Formats: sequence, structure tokens, C-alpha cells
Amino acid sequence: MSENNVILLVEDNEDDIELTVRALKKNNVVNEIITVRDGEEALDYLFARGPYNERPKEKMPNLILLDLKMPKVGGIEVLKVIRTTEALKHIPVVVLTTSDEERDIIESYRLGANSYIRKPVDFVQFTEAIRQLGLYWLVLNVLPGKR
Amino acid sequence: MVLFAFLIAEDIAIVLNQRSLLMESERNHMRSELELMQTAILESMLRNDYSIVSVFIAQLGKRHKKVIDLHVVAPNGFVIAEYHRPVTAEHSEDYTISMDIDYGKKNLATVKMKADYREVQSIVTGLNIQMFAASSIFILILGVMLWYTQKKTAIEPLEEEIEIRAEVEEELRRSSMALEAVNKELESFAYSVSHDLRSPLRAVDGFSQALMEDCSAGLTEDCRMFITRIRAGCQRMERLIADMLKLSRITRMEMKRQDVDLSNMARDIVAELKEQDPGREVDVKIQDAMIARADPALIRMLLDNLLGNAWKFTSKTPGAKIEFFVEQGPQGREYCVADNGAGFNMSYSDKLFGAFQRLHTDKEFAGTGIGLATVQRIIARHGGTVRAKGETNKGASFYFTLSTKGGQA
Repeated sequence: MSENNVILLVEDNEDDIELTVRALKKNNVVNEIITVRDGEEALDYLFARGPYNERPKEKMPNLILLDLKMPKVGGIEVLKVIRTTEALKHIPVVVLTTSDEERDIIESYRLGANSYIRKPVDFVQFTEAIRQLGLYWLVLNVLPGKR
Repeated sequence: MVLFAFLIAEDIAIVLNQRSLLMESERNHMRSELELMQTAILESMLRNDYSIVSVFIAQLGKRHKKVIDLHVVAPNGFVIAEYHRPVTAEHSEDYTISMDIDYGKKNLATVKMKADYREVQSIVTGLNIQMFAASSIFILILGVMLWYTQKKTAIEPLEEEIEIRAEVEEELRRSSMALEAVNKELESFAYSVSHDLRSPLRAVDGFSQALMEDCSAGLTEDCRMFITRIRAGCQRMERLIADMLKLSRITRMEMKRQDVDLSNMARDIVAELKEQDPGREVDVKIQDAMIARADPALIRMLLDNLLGNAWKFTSKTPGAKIEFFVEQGPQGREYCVADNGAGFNMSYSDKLFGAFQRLHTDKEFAGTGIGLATVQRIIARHGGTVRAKGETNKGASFYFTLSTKGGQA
């Protein structure tokens, strides 16, 4: 897995952050993982503004793991913005969330998510899901060259 | 209407009667006028002063507009004096009065007067109007009285009825809106429950596993067992949450009734059970062509539960038997799923359909106790009833009916 790839993890739950990072590491994902805690921070990072206005260009993420339920700006909002911004819309977005409500799934795909994964309660299953995710999006999937 | 016609006939009769009376009095009046002049004319004629006669005649004619013409004629036909009124447009019926001017037995002349009944006419017209007006007012009053009576006896009760019905409709509308609101609340409740309960659960499970993996060096056999049990507890709770959500969805789901082949459905379910558990030998008897009017998705869930239970609780029974058939009971068609498995103690039968209530431990037979609660809810939504019969280690039978709403149950 290329070390230059950056993964942006958008998640408000501290426990889930810890477990997701752990799962990624367990699966030899050595990429840099940037964590933001709500939708607003996520957009700040992506647009390199606010507290992130010094973010260097190479640190644009190659994969975004997006939770839906977050305070301030929620996951759906972030998805909308990403998919309507020229500079961002090519980035693969995997929705990683607890919700299995039909409407969330439909809405996410409608707005252009690449994939929708439910966080299982069973951690072993969770790790397996992350492993497959990492394998696909970071290794198998060919991304356009870095801008 | 008949009344009206009758009144008009009466009015006309009255008026006609009045008219002829008036005409007669009119003629009498004019005759008197003529007779007033009789003496004067006689004396004039005896004096051979015929011009005076003309004057008298003219005076009379001018005084009464109704006079059309006057002639004083000698016995030999010679016209001594005459008066003509120019004919006006207003010409009605006329009459003629003759008066003889006699000197003793000798007839000197005859006065002939032609006049019309115009005055009578106007009086009669006035009378007509009055009578008509009176009748109309009478009819009107009658009509008002009739209408009023109608209103009181028929219209008002109807209006009241309509008002009451409108109120009932309004009530119903409000109730259904309230129900809608409650349903929406339940939906968001179920939604947030699933999310909010699952997050910490995932943390407990995840970090227990992390503990196991990262701290295994410092963990004894017992410690590892504890952690395993923590994780098992988490899984169980996750299943409970999932079942609870399913149960709440049943109540919220929209129901569509159609003809469902229960026999085929049951065969499908049994086939699935056999697939998941190929080692088992179970004698399954399903009655043919059981068609019911029900919501297919919900009935599927119901049969899944009942047949799944029968399958599960016969897992420890050699010679396991499961039957699905229908009987004609006192409440209509009663379907039955029966098995000869673990059964249950009838004295606890009232706990059977409670949510999360179990009559066996999880160790004996895995489960959350939501199955029969789901069954009961589905039956309730179909307007039917469900009951159970059982005996420990001899088996259990579950009977259910689906309401006879529109045809077959």
C-alpha cells in the first residue's frame, strides 16, 4: 500500500475512531490517517481553509471514510459538497456508519457514495470489513494521478 | 297548486258576479240621468224649440265620458238631435238605453243612448287585482306555514344529523392524524435506538477484543474466558436490538391484503430450514392448497417464526414431526402448526406471547423470545386470534385465525 496515500477519517465517536484506526493498522494500512471530528472540520480540511489553511497539497486524501451521524455538518451534507466540487469529486468516499436504514443507504448512493458499509458490533467482523475495504480501495482500485 | 287553482276559480266567480251587479247599477244610473232630462226635453219639444234639445243632449254627453252617442229620434225616423263622442282607443263593452218622450199617449220622440262600461271595467280590474293579491298573500302565508312545519319535522333533524356526522368525521380525522404522529415518533425512536445503543456496544466488544489481542501476555486462562463472555454478551445484545427493531417495524409496516398460498410458502420455508441444517431428519406434513387473504410479507414472517420454532424445538427429539394444517373451528378457519418436540408447561402459557419472555434457557434452545411476540402482533394486525397448546416434552401446537375481512379467512 502506497505510503503517499492519505486517508481522511470523518468520525465523531472517539471509540469508533480508535477501533477504526486499530483495524486499519492491523491490516497493514500504513497510510497517514487524518481524523476530523465533524462535517465542518472535514470541509475545512478538504478546502484547506480555517484551521487547515496551511495544509499542503500532497495531503489531499485518496480515500474518505465518512460517518453519517455527526454534529454541525452531517455526513450527507459533506457528501453533497464533495460530489459537487470540481477539485474533490473524484475522491472515493466510503460511507462507514451504524445506520442500516433504507433511506440512508439510498440517499448516500444517490448523492454519489462509492460504497456503503455498516459498522458491525462484532469487532472481528469490523476488522474484516476494514481489511477488505483497505484492500480494495487502497490497493486494487486505481486512482487518478495526484494533482 | 290545487289550492291556488281553486282560489282563482272562486275569485273569478266573485268578480263576475260583482261585474254584472255593477253593470246593472250603471245602466240604472244612466237611465236616471236620462229621466232627469225627460221633462225638460218634453217641454222643449212642445215649444218646438229643438235646438235646446241638442244642448241638453250635448250637455249630458259631455258630462259623462262613458257616453258614446245620443240620439233623439222622432217616430218617423227624423233625427231631432244627436251627440257623438269621438271614439277613443279605450273601447269596451257597450249598451243602449232607450227612453220615450211621450205626451199623454202620443210618442213624440225616443232618446237612445249608447254608452260603455268603462267605469265598471276599471272597478272590475281593481277588484281583480285585489282578489288576486289577497289570494296570493293567503297562499304565501300557507306556504310559509307549510315550509316551517317541514323544516321543523324533516329538514332540521337532517341538518342535525349532518352536523353530527361532520363532527364524527372531524374526530376521526384528528385521531388518524394523532396516530400518524405517534407512528412517526415510533419510527424515529426505533431509528435512534438502533444507532445509540449499538455504538457503545461496539466499543465494549471492540476494546474487549483489543484487550485480548494486545494484553494476552498478561492474561490468564480465566481472564481470556471473561473477555470471551463479555463479547458473547455484546453479540446477544446486538441480536436483541435487531429483533426489537424488527418487532417495531411490524407495527409500522403498511399492510396489503391479497390471496396468499400458505401451503407453498410453508414448503419454501421448510426447504430453507432443511438447507441450513441438512443433517436433520424431520417428518413434515403440509396440507395442500391453503389459501388465505393476508399480507404476504407479514405472513411470511409469521410462518418463518412458527415453523422455525417447531424446527428448533424438535432438534433434540428423535422421530421429529411437524404438521401445518387448517381446521374449521367455532371462529372460522383455524390454522395450526404442531410439533412433537420440547413443548412447554401449560401453566406458563400466558407468558408465551410476551416480548422477550422465554420458557427455556438460552442454553437449551437459543433465542431472544421475540418470535412469538412477533407472531401475535402480525395476527393482531390481521384482526385474528392466536392460541397455544402444549405439554412438556410432548410437543406444542399453535393455532391462529386471520380475520374474515372480505372473503376467506
